[in-house]
Amino acid sequence: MTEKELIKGCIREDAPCQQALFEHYAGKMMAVCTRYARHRLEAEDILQEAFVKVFDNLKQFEFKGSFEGWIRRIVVNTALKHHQRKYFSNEQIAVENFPDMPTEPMAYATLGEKELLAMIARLPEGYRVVFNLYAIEGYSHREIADMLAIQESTSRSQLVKARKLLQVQLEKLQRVAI
Amino acid sequence: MNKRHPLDELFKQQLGNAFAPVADYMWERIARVRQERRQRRLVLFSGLTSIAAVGLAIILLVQPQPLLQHFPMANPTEEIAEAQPWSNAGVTLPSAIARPIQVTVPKIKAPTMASAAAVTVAKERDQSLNQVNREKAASLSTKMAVKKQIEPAVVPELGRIALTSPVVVAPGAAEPEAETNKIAGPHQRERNHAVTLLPGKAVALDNIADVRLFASHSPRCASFTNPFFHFDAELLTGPAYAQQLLRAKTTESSNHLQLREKSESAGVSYTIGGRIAAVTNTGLGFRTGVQFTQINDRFKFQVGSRMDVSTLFGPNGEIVGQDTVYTDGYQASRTNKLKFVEIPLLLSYEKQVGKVRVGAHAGAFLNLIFDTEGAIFSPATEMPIAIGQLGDRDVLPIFNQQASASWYGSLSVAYNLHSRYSLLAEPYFKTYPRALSTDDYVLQQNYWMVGLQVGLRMRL
Repeated sequence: MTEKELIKGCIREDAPCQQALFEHYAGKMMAVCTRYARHRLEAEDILQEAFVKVFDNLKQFEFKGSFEGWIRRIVVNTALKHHQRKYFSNEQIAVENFPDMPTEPMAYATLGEKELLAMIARLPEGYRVVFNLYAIEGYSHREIADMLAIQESTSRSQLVKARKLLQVQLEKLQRVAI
Repeated sequence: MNKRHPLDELFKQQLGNAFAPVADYMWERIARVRQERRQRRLVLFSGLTSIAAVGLAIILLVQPQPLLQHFPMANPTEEIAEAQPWSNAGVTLPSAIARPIQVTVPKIKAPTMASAAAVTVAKERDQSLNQVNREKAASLSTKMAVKKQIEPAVVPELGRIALTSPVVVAPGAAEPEAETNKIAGPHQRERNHAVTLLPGKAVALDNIADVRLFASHSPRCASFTNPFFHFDAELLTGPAYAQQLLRAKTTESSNHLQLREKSESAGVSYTIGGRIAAVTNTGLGFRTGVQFTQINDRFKFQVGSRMDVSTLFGPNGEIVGQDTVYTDGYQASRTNKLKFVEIPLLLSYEKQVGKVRVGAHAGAFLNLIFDTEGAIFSPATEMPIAIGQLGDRDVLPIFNQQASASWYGSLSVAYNLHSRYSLLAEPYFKTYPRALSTDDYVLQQNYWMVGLQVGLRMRL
């Protein structure tokens, strides 16, 4: 079944098609959610909310451009909205549910997804969101400023500070590895 | 030239297309949430559609028909019968007029006078009527002479009659032929017929008071209102003050009670809604509709200062410096929102006092949708924590999914601006007798509120 057929099946509210679409993109989108969320439970909430929106608004997809990009935008927007709404969640859960920093020595080049995700998770809230949007999603500072309702200069300074903190964490890892 | 920072590149490469394991239950969760939302939408849609359909049906069903007696000339038979006193005044009606119902009535009511036969009949009728008019005028002139001697003050009033009735204005003089022979529209014909007969009533009366009554009479318009009850549509909105009532369920929860009472205060709440009212002529009425209410509470808390210190290492592991991020402490606040969509079911009593209509209303508000958001101090950690309803994730679920019914009482004052529109002000009191909080939460949370709604009332 092609992607277009799958989407049309989802628009018809065909449950097997919807499940197939979810299973196809869930892994990638869960990784996106994990980068924005403070813990796994929050990431699951974002993923759930985002896919509900995807299925509800699938009729609006015009089969122009990448479908994955369309879903990713919905996921990122949902994560940002969720971040603004759930401001008061218990921060302790974030630390408990993410893997700790690796204890065994490892080389800089061998840093995997888990370790990098853990490093992002340790960033303060604002730094993490700006770094995700700029470095990984590829948004410009102007776009980030619009999305988060902040100044462009704030976005720049948050990014610089995020890089700085990540640098420190990386160097710590390097030192341990050596 | 690649301007990207190497750190950005590293994270982009590693995490840009990363996968993360997804729990098996996620698809079931999503399917269940979508199902629940569909059901909720269906209930909401059904409720609103039912209300709209019932409202529309009521409006259409009770659309009153105009009553014939409200027109100046509704039953020609009666008028002709009333015209019989002319014979007492020495006027003999021609036979064509003596039985006009067979000839004139269908033609008068007909919307068009297209056929030649109809025109001929109409001409004959008009000519006959003119003949009668002349005779009536002659009689009137005689009567007028008598009346002048008795009561000269009546003259101006009779003069007014003359303005509306060409038969009376020129006693003894014939109406111009061109006008009498003209084929008029149905409305003009009715009027002509009416004025032809009306002076007869007056002249036949010997009592001056009756003449005066006739002179000041103006034809009534047909009334389209229902004789038993009427319908009003009301749009209302306004601010409110909502007071939360917290009660500790156990002695252990008294600390949490104090903390909440100290940190939370009432904000400005508001309501907006629309109602349809059926009001009987006795003033009793029933009101229903849809109303949105938002209760706002302020939650204030202190965000403590924080200092994050990181040690910076050089390439050989030596310490090269320290990076310090310092966040000042500050007082922060957040608005806790309780949103209700409700259906009012109110009994009313209204009374008209001049241009003002005052009323009293009482009844219940049934909850259709209840939603909450906000934060309080956690009973466990005494730190700010997001609150929500049963079934919500990642929040402290202190509220039930559905709110209980509330009791409502109000007084209203409506100032009549126009025959159909009134400005409305309605101060009210509302209380939620059953707790909005869950059984598991350590406190019981209720609300009462007072407010003022202002808006527009339209007579349907």
